[in-house]
Amino acid sequence: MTEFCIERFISLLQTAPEKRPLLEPPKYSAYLQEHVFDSLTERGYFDLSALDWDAVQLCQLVTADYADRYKHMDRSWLQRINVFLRQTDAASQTGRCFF
Amino acid sequence: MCDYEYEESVLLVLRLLKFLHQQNSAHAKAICDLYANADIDGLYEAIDEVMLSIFPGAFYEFDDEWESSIAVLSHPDITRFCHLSRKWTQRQGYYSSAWQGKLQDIAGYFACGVFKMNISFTGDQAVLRLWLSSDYYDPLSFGNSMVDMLLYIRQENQRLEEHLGDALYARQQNREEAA
Repeated sequence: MTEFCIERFISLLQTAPEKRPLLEPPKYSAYLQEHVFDSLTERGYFDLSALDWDAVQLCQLVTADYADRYKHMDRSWLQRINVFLRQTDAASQTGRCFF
Repeated sequence: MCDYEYEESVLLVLRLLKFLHQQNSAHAKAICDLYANADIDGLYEAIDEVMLSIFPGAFYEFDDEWESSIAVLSHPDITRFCHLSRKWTQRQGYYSSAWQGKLQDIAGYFACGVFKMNISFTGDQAVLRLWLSSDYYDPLSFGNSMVDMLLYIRQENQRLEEHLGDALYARQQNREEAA
């Protein structure tokens, strides 16, 4: 098994890629308002086959709070890592920890 | 954004269709023609077909033990991720399957309404088996979480391609200098 190298570990941490946003910020679309929502309100349906897909972007097809579902995931994963670290037996390590 | 009661459902179905349009506009058009003049219920009916078009070769199984449906999915972007990750690992001069664990983490992070997951690898092909929760599974949330996963994997593929391009360029430079 490859031996753990602290220098290599630190250098890899320093070269870790920049964190990119998971999703683009949501945007309002006047096109969707006119061709989808106004039509749904007036007639109860809209013509899916007549939609111009190039006129809308993915970021216009989410609600304002859509990305919040992943904040919950971030919190859960961090909590899980914390639990895992608390369960780690310090005595199994070669060096002394804290005391 | 528009404050309609059905806003989220409509937007998320259209999001799946937009993603499919980017991937295969002919398939997206066929579904749109089939569900033309759709109301809210009609849009919901289209979700399964859109998902099966986004993930070519996808199918569902039933697990008798867990009494749960299993979605079995693979995608060219996931295959590309496996290929690039393997190539990147080999270029580092060692063999490691850590990238397989990374794919499991990515799928585990995004998959919504899933209580169990298994990924099998054959060469560069990865097949995701996702056990759908009878309590929490919602096709719309699940579909969009899979789209988010694919968008993230595309970002990762782009990053890996940039790295592999850099590494190739650096090796060419070294060879030229040595010559």
